Amino acid sequence: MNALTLRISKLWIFIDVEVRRDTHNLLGFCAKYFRIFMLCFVYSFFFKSALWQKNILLDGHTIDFPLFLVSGVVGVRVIPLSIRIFDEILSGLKSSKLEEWVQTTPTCLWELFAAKALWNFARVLTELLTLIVFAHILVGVPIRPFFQGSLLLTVVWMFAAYAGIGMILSGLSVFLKQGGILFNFFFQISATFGGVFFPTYIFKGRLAFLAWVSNSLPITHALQVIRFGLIHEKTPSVAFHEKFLVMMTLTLLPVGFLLLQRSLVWARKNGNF
Amino acid sequence: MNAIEINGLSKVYPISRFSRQPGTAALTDISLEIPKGALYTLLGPNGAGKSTLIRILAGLTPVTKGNFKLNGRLGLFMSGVQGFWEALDGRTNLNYFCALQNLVGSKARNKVDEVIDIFEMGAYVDRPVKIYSNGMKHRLLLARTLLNDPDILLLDEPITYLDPIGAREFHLLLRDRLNRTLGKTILLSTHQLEEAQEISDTLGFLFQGKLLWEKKASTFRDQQANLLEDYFQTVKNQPS
Repeated sequence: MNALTLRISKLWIFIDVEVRRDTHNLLGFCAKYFRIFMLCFVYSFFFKSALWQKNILLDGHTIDFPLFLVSGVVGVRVIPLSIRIFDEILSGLKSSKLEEWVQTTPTCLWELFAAKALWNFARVLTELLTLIVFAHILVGVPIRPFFQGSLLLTVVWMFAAYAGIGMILSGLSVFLKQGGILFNFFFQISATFGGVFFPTYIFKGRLAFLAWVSNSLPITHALQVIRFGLIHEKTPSVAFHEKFLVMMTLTLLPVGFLLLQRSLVWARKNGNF
Repeated sequence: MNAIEINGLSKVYPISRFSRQPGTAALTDISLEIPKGALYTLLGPNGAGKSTLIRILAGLTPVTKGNFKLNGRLGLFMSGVQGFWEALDGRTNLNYFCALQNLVGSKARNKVDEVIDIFEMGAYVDRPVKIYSNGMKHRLLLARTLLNDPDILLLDEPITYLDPIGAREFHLLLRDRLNRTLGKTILLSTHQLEEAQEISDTLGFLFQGKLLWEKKASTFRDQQANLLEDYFQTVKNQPS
């Protein structure tokens, strides 16, 4: 068996274990999808009663509030599944006391990370699909295959950008041993200032510094691209946000990789993660 | 031929990560040789350096001074009964561990069947690990240790969570199956003196990071000496 076949076979087994671990409690797993349904249901109630035909202004274009909010919810679901890939593997090995044993095997931790990343990305896709379907049924968001294709690409870049941030935070938490706080802090910052529930143009005057925070988050740019895609507008600002997101991803991934790799080597030298 | 050779090995843990002050000596100038196929037991109170020595041999902790040589593939068994994906069955866990050891496909299946057979786990291996007793989990842990077909087994206080009967069964399993039948070299650390003298070839006594004595276990089995008495005397005679 050559090295590539071995790697692929191993990856398949690791993904299989990830899937089985997540789905062994089928009721709990299905509840996640049911939660999306509930979310859409609650939103539809709000839309119909109070927010229907309320528009949000984005770079001179208007977008219906339902579309604005649903796309925000789609985006924010990507973060926890991408940012914690590395941390979940490391803390999982630690809590199950597999840490030492795995270090004595020829398997590289990056193989485990890759399996987790693939499975989490599959979960992002299924949750995305669930959301689109429920949003269509309950809220009336149109299903457009062409748009959903560009949305997918944006989600891929966003997933990768947050995976890069996840690597940086995991690398830092190996040194600082305070991983949970870092991840929660970053998730809350992204959810609050990333333009998920309200547009970021409200950060003006004394709050202008929050616009800077907002612009430095991948989710802000991803959501802009997704929302303009929804209203079928191709403005110069969309191209800017696309490029910014890609540049961010291409910067965060190698920086995160190097930092995490360094910290794992350091941790191994010192005996634990 | 020796399976394990340790020459003048010392380990000093720093006081803190960034401290420049001299640290705590966990091991001081340890030298020992363990022949192939031997069962060597490390004795000593808590903090004597037994786990540190095993971690160093497993490559988990760097040495401060000295060196060691292992002639053969290594299998590691750390204390504790966890180390599994509890929601999954024993066979899936073993398949996962095989993949970690670069064993996949029919090779992995054969190996898993082989270790299930060795440790007689056929009756429960397809059930979730969370329902296993501690004794079953210990068998699964040992089975995992054997997946890469190791020549040398490092076992760090393997019976911590076992009751006396389970502990005895486990020790006999070590001696009869792994050491006598399969010819594995075993380095074991334990606090169970009675079983240590019963199953071991050689006993080594570590105290405050120093190897104070090495004796043939047969001298205690033949009642020429009392291991418990030796243990107490050794500890008592050391300066605190």
